[in-house]
Amino acid sequence: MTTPSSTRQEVTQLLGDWSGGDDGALEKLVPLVQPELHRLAHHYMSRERPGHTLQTTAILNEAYLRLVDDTKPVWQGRSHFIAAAAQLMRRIMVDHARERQSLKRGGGALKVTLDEAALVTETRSGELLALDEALESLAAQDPRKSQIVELRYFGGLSVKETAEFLKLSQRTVEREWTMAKAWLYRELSEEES
Amino acid sequence: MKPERWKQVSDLFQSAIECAPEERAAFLDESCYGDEGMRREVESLLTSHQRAENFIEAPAFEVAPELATNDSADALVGKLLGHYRIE
Repeated sequence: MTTPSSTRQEVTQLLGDWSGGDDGALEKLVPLVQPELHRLAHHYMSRERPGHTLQTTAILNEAYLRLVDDTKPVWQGRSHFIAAAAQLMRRIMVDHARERQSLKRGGGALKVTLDEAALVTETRSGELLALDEALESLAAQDPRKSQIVELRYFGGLSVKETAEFLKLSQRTVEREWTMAKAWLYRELSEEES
Repeated sequence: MKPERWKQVSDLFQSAIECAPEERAAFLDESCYGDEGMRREVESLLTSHQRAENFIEAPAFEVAPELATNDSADALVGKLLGHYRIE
């Protein structure tokens, strides 16, 4: 299955707009990139053996190859795609977590029939939504720390890749990440207690 | 929190974790002198830091891939809530 060239062109153009400062472009990217991330995630999951780790960056790289017309230098290449994809991944996962939660609230019958795996998913959904909210609060206080968490946690970027993308030293990224983690952890534990 | 205070908290937190554990209390005594609120804030972050070792270290997708594909929800929804469709 190949991506239609019109889609490639559109994705490439929107990424160019986004890296040029047009935040609305990201909204328009959601419906274009989401199906591909779905498909790849599915593909990787079915291919992985149990106990084998999935690689977020592998998926995002493949999505990049399939969705972006690399011959047109309208924007700054792969790292910008990964950064956009990290935001998209966050959006997709949070939306799904929200759907799960509303399903749970919606019907008593559903709860009874949930198997163990589904219960794990319920817990993860709740945790993810809480984290997303805490990340919003962190962004209000310190956007850079929040962005570092987004890139690393949702985009799967290493410290090195994050540093390259944000044009910061690795040491700075490490320090900010450490503080962000401690702060988020505290936010989430306060919520529980 | 005001940006200046947040920056101060960040800097003190950073310096404190770089201190040897036995020097930490003395460092905070000195650097937060007269500002108990600041000391409490930094100390509570240090406590979280110690507990948060593995927290969010593995990317979300690797921990909960089903939330990226929504497979389990699809399966449930198909069976139980015919009118509800998740794409």
